[in-house]
Amino acid sequence: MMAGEWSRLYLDALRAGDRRHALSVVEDARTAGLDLPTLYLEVFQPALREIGRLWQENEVTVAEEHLATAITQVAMGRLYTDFCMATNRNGRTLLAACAERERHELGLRMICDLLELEGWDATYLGATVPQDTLVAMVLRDRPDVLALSASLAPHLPQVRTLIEAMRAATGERGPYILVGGRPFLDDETLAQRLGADAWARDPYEAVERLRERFG
Amino acid sequence: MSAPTVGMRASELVLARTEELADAVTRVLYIEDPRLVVRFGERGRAKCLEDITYCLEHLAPALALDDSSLFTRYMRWVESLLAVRGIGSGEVRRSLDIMQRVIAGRFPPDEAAFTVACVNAGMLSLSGDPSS
Repeated sequence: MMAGEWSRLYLDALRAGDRRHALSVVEDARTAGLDLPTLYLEVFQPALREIGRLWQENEVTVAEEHLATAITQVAMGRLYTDFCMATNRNGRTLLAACAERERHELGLRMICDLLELEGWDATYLGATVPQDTLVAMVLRDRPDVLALSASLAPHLPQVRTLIEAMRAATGERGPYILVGGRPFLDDETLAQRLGADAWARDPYEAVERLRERFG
Repeated sequence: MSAPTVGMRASELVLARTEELADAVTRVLYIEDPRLVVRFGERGRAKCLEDITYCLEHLAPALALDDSSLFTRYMRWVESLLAVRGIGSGEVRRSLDIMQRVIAGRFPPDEAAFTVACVNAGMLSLSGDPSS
């Protein structure tokens, strides 16, 4: 069975709000030989995009959409412990955070797991991290990369302020700043205008970018 | 950091007064078209207030970053979202028109002009027939 077919089965389980069934689909797909990047990028991602589209079309409710996200977070957590724990470290570090108030965090979480699989130490701080805390953490840990996610336009000014504060605090030894989220897809100049070093349209592209940059 | 631009000041005003502005827009919307209560009921009014609040929250970054496309894209998206929920472009246009009037009457001149121009860009970006 192709990844697309697994994705459809997974989507059916999400639409039914059936956590057990969704997790068993993932388990079966793993047994059939799908690896972590394939599960993330070709099973989960298309299914969640379809849920988002269905919400827009008034076919699923906000509650159902949130449930689909929650189920996927559980599925990812289970896969992570199996796939990523045993990998050798390569010394590269990444710190990931969402803009304050931002709650769309799945993409960033995927990036972290995919990089972990390649040997990075990717620390995921989650949604709504206060700016001061984040700056202090970067100064302490000096990660190679800071990945920021903003999926809604109202969060963009915060991203700009945060990047400004980060550059001011870290100077030339500051992290490489990668941003992503819906608004960046519509305007290729946005990331640069906010002061970021690069942007990525999805987790796959983010990992590619960082691979190119850090080898 | 450099001094705040007129857009940043306007954005701060919108964010600081979102609740008040959303409430005013919703009230005028319902006063000018009492049939809305019949069509959507009290629940409709609450949803309307919520939608206007989201619009203002998307207006703020467009002002702060001096990039009206952040607002116009959002409004086009809202337009398509509401269309499948039985609310036409005319209704969206009317609420933006009221938003302009509410803001024009409450903000200092520079901030008002800057904000009204951005809301106007939002209205012009709607795809539906202006007369509908």
